[in-house]
Amino acid sequence: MQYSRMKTAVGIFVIVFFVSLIGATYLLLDAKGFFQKRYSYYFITDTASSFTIGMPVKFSGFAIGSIDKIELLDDGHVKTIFSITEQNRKWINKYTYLLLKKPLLGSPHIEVLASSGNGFLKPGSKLPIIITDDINDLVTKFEPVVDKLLNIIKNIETITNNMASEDSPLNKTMRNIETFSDKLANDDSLLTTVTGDKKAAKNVLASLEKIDSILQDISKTTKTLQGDLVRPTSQTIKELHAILVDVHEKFKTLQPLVKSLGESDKSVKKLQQSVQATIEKTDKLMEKIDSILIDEKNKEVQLP
Amino acid sequence: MKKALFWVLILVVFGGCSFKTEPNLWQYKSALAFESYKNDFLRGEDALAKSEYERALDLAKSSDDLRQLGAIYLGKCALDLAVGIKNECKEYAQIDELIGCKKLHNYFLFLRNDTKALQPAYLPSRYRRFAKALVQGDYEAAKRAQIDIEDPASAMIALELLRTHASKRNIEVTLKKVSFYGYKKGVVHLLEKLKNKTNDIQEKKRLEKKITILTKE
Repeated sequence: MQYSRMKTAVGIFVIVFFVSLIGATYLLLDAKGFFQKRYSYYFITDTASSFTIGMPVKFSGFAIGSIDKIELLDDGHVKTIFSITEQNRKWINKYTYLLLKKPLLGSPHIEVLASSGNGFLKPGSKLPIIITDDINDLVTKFEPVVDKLLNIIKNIETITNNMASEDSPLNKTMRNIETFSDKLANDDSLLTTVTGDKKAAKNVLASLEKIDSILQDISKTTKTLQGDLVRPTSQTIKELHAILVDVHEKFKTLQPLVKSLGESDKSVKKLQQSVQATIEKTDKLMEKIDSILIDEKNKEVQLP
Repeated sequence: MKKALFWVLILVVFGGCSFKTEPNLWQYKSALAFESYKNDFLRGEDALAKSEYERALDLAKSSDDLRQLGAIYLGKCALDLAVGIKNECKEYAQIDELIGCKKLHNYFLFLRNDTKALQPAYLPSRYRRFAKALVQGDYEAAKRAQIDIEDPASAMIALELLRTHASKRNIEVTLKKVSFYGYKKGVVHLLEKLKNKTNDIQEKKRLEKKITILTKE
């Protein structure tokens, strides 16, 4: 009798276990959208090399579908069919386009770029796709950075040559200042004027004329520096700054992955920090150049 | 004593020549950033232009005086108009009352082609003759005045304001000025305009070819 009750209890347990298992599996699959109606769309690419069956289709970081089938067409193009769950169908409309993202770290995925409220696109429709390659982009972006750096070095060379040249306005100014200082040091008439001797007034005026000529020379030097040297350098630094900001933005997307890799991936972290530091430096440099280029007349925005 | 006085004098003379930081540095910087934006935008360097525009806006928002901010909004509106981008100057319209500056208000009316309320005397001097002709409805005089505008960006703005009244010569003269400055975005827009204006199929093809060359990556 006791054995029979035990058998019944085990039987009930097994039934309850399987019912629970099936129920839980059903609920899990239902939550994952397995039983939802799926809508298929496709896109055409030149190559299938970046795509795999099951590759997620994401919207704002959430998986809303996946690639179901990849087939080679007669004309050599590749047709990739993917499906979207019913509740996310709203993101696929006539304004939607796809973006294949291949990040530096992590697996590639397809990003859906769209806004809701534009109706639905008929299932089986073709969607446009843009393929980006973050690694190659990064390399491509770094090439002009190197060019710009070389350009900056060239500009610095020009500045140095300009200043070192015997006939440069800066050298002329320096020579003028030297003459003026000598004059002041050797001729004490200026000082006697200050102390009250009126007779030396003519000499003071002569000295002031000399100051005028020096100031004109200084102004010429500044103008030459601004026009020929500072402006192109400033533009180059601005371009470099913009590129670095772009590279930095790309690194930001890597942040979570870098964190998950922990201390082992110090080189990526270091690179990110050096980009950040360079951005800050170029920022400061731009501010300094802006201060040099300031023109009294240009405090108001000149309407085009 | 004499030696001390000598050094004091030296310090005074050369101290006066040294650089001085202006307290309204934000204003200078903002104007400078806008100037860079203008050049970058017209040259088609959009990423740089965007960054400079945002910088100009940020700096202009440092003060309670909204004239700088208004001028930046209007400047962007004018440049968009110059290259055929639709812009109704909504950002400026929202702060027009707060600014209360006749110069900016009239420039705003000018961009909107509101000739009824426009007072040309408040516009930058290069536009006055052109605006006067527009107000009087004398498009022949306006066309002549547009050709005489030296600044390439201003010439493009005036050309857009002529709308359908602009002649082929107006477009060609403006194109020459804009090309000289290397304002790629403006050049492409004017070539498109010229293409639409001409009836000669060969000429159309020639212009189309030029556009393709300029816009090809």
